[in-house]
Amino acid sequence: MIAGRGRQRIRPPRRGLHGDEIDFENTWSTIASAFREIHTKNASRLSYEELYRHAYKVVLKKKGEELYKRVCDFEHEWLSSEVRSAIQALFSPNLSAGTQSLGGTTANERRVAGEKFFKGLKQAWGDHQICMSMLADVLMYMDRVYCHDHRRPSIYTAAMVLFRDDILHAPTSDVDGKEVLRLLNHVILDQIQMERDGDVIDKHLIKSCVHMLDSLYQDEDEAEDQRLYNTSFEAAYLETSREFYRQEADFLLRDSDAGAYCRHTRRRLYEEEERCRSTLLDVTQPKIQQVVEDELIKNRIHELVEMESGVRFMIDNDRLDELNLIYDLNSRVDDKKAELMRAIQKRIVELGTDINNAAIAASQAPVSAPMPLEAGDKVKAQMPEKSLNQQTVAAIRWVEDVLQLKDKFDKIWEVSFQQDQPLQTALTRSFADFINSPAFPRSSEYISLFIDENMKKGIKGKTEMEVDAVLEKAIILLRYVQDKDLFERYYKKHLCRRLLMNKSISNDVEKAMISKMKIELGNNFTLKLESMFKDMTISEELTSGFKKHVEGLGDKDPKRIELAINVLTSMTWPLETMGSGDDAEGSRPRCIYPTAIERIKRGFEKYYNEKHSGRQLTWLGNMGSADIKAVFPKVPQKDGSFKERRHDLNVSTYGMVILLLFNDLPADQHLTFEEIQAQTNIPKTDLIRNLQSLAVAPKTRILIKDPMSKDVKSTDRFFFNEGFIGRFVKIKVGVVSSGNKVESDRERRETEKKNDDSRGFCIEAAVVRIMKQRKELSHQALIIETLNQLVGQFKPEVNMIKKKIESLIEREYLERVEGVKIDSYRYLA
Amino acid sequence: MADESSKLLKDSLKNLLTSGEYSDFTINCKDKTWRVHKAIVCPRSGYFARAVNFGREAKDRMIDLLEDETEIVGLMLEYLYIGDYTVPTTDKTDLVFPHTCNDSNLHAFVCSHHACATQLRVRDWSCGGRGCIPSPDIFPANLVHHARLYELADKYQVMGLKSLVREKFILACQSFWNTSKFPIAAEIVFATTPEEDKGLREVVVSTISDHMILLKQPEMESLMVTYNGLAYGLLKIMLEAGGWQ
Repeated sequence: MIAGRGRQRIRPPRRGLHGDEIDFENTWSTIASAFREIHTKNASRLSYEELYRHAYKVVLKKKGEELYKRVCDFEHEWLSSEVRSAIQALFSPNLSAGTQSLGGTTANERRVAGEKFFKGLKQAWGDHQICMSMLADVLMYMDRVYCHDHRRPSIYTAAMVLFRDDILHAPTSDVDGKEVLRLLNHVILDQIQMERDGDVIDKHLIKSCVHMLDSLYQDEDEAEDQRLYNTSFEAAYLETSREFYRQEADFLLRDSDAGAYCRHTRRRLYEEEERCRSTLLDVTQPKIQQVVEDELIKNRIHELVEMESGVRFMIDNDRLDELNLIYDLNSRVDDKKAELMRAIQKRIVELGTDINNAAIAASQAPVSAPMPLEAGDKVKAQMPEKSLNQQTVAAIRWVEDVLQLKDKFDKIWEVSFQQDQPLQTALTRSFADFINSPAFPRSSEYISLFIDENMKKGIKGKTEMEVDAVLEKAIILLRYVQDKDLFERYYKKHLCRRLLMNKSISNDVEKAMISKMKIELGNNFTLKLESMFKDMTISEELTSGFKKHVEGLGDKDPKRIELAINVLTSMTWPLETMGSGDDAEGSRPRCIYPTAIERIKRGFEKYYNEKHSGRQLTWLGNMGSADIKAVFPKVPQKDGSFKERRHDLNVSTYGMVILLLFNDLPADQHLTFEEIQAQTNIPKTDLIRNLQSLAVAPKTRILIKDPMSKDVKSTDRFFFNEGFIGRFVKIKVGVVSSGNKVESDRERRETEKKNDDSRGFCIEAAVVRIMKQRKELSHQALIIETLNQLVGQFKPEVNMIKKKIESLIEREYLERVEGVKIDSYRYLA
Repeated sequence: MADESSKLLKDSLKNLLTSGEYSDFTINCKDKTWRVHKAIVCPRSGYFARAVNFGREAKDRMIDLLEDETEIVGLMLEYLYIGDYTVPTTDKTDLVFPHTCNDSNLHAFVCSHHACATQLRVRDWSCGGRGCIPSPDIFPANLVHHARLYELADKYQVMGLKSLVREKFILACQSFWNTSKFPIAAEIVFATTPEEDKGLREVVVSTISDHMILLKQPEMESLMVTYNGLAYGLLKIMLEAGGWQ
C-alpha cells in the first residue's frame, strides 16, 4: 500500500481557498513573460506544471474571461508589432511588379523576390502555429472550462483569426493599401504563370502558403467553403486561368495545327491536375479542369474540328492518334461528341458522294460522247457493248471503293474512337445516307453485280476463308441498302443468268451467299432464290430422265439431237428481264423450230406431261444454246489448201435455228432478213443480234452479209460462208449482251417501274393486313404501321401509301370513318 | 480464463507502477517519486500528454507536482495504471461499529460496512442479500480522499476517473453522512472544482436533503453560508420534492 505512516496527511481544506484572492496581475505577468519566451523560442526552461497551475487557478477562480482577453491582447500586440514588421521587411518593388507591369524586372527577379516573401510568410505562420499550440497546451484548462462553458472559440482558433486579421489583412504599405493577402495571391498566381511559361518554381514553398490559406477562414463560422483558400485565392486563380486559357486558345488556333492543339490541351490538362497535386490543393482539381475544358475544348471544339488541319485533314491523312485526341477531348466536354460526330458524318457523306459521282462519271462518259443521235436503237447493240462493260467495271469499282471507305472508318472507329457506340451508329447512318442517296439510285444493282462478278470470276482460286470474306463484304454493304426489294430484283436477275448460262464457279458458294442473306434479311427474302436452285436440280433430273427415256425408245439414230433442258417456274424466275426486253407488244411470238428440233421438243413435252399433268411449258428460245457440228465444203483457201473443215459451233438456240435454214439452201443462194424472220418467227431484235454475231463479228462470220456493214437492215441478204476459216475446232459464237451488266438508263427505268408496281402490291397487302387486325385506325397510325411493316424490304413513299389507301377504298376494302376529327379508316370485311 | 487473464494484466500493470521498470518519465510530489510510463499515463490524461513535451518537463523528463498531495497523486496513478483505486485502510479511528450483517437471517439489515448494490437503498434485506456487496471503502475518511481525487481528475483531465469517483462517493455518503468527514469532503467538493462541474455537487446536495438533520451541524452552517450554490441546490430539491407545501 502506498501510504502507511501514521496519520493521514489529509487536512481540512484551507479555509477560504475560494475566498483568498489570488494576485491576478502577478500571475498574469508570470504567464505573459513565459509567453514571450515561447515566442522568442526560449521555452526550454519553462515549467509546464507551473504555468498550467497558474492558468488553472485563475480559471478556477472565475477569472477565465479576463485571462482569455489578456492572451488575445497579448497575441494581437505581438503579431501587429513583431511579426508584421518582419513581414513588411519582405516587401520589395520586384514583388508587386507584375501588377503594375513595370518594365525592368525580369521574371527571375520577381521569382526570387516572391520566394523570399513566401519563405517569410511560411516562417511567420509556422512559428505562430507552434507557439499557439504551446500556449494552448498551457491554457488547456481555460479552453476546457472557460471557452467550453462560455462558447468561446478555443484560444488556438482565436489566435489563428488574429493572424489572419493582423497579418494577412494588414495593408502592405500605408500608401498603396493593398492587403498582404492580395499580394500573396498575386505572387502565387504570378509564379504559377511562370511555371506555365516553362520556368521552374518552388512548388513546395507555395504549397505551404496554400496550406496556410486553407487553414484560415473568411469568417468566424469556419464553414467548409469559407476557407481563405477558397474565398480568396481559388476564385482569383480560376479567373486568371480562364483568361489565360482563353487567350492561349486564340493563339493556338491561329498559330498551330489541330493535332498540336490537341496535344497541347492534353498536356495542359495534365499539368493543371499535377499542379493541384503538387502546388495547390486537390479540391481545386475538378474546378480548374472545368476551366481548361471550357476554354480550350468546349468553347473551341467547333473551330478546332473545322480547322484546315482539323478532323477532315486527319481523316484524309489517317492521323489516327490525332483523331483519338480529338475524340478524347470532345468526350470530356460532350457525352454525345456532337462536333466530332458531325464532322465525321459530313466527311463520310462527302467521300461517299465522291465515290458515287466517280461511278456515275465512269459509266456515263463513253456512252454519251461518240454516239450519233440518229443512230438510235440499232447502233446500241454494238456500241454500248464496250461501254456496258466499262459500266460493270465502274460498278465493281464502286463496291470496292465503298468497302475501302468502310474499312478506313472502321479502323478509325476502332483505334481512335475507342469503339464508341453512338459514333458507330452515326457512321452507319452516314454510310446508309450516301449509299441510299436519291442522286445515286444504283447501289442495289451495283452490289448485286459485285456478287455476280465474284461468282463468275472473282472467287476463282481463292480459299474458303477468302471467299467467305468477299461474301461478307457484300453483306456488309447490303445492310446499308434501304430498298432491299430492288436489290432482290437485281439479284434474281443476275442469279438467273448465272444459273441458266452455267456461269457460276461454285454452287456451294452461291448457296453460302443465299444463307448469309437469309441470316441478314430473313426467310422471306431468300424463298424465291432458293426455289430457283430447286428448279435447277429438278431440271437436271428431268434432263437425265428424258435421256434415258429416249434411249429406251430403241431407235439408235446417230443424228439424234441431245436435249438438255431447264424447266423454270414462271413466277419464281425473272424471265421478263431475261428477254430482249423489246417485245413490249405483248405475248412472245412462238419461234418456228426446224423439224428435227420440233420433234424432240414434242417428245419432251409428252414426257413431261406424263410426269406432271396440267402444266404448261413455254419454250424460251432466246435463252438456250446449241452445239452444232458444221462441215464446211472444199473450197480453195488463201493458203492454197483445199480440204473439208469441221467445226463444233456453240451458238444460241436462235442462232442454231437460223443456221439450220442454210442447211437446205444451195450454196449460192441467199436469204433476206425478212425471209429469215418469216421462216423462223424470231423476234426482230433477237434476230438482229443473232445475225450480227453470225455475220458481222469478225471471228465468227459463218454467214456473209450483203451489203457488208455493221448494221443489220431488213433488206440485207445473207449467204452461207463456205470459205469460213476458224483457227480452232470449237468455236463459240457469242451473242451480244448475254452477260450481266449494268442496265442502261432505259432498262433501269423499267426495272424501277416494275419494282414500284410490286411495291404497290406489298403496300396494299400490308395495309389490308394491318386493317384486318385493327379494324379501325387513324390515317397517321396506319401510315406509321405500314412503314414499320415494310422497313425490312424498302422504304415506301408516303404518297404511294396514300394512293394505295385510296385505291383500297375504291375497291371497298376500306372506308373512311365519318364524323371524326382525325382522318380514320375502317376495315370492310 | 478471461477473468484470469485480465487479472494477470492488471497485476503486471500494477507492478510496472510500483517497480518503475521501463519507465521513461518521472513524477515527483513532495518527497514521493513515481517512475511512470508515458505510454500509459499520456493517453489517459490530457495534462500529462502535454506536459511530457513541454519545456523543462520535456528536457528533464520529469514533472514536479508542487501543490498536490502525495497520497491523492498515488491514487490517481493507481487508477491510470489499473483503472481502479483503493483508498488505504490505515485510519481506524472512525471504525466505530462492527458488522451487523452476515449470511444468517438474524440481522435483517445491511450494515454500514456494506452497500446495497441495487441502488434502491433498501436496508431491510428484502432482496435476500443478493444485492449486498461488501464496500471496499469502509472508512469515513475515504470521503475526503474521493473528493480530493475528484479535484485532481478535473485538473489533470484524467479520462473516466470522475465518474468512478462519483460512484464511490455516493456509496461512501450513504454510509458516512453522519461522520465528521462529510462536511470536510463537502467543502472540498465545492471549493476545488468549477461551478459548472455538477458531478459531486449533486451527491452532496442530495445527501443533505436526505438527512436534513445535518443542517444543524455548525460546519454545515458555515458551508451553507459560503457556497450559495450548495444552499440553492438544496432549496431546489426540497421544492421539487414538495417538502414545504
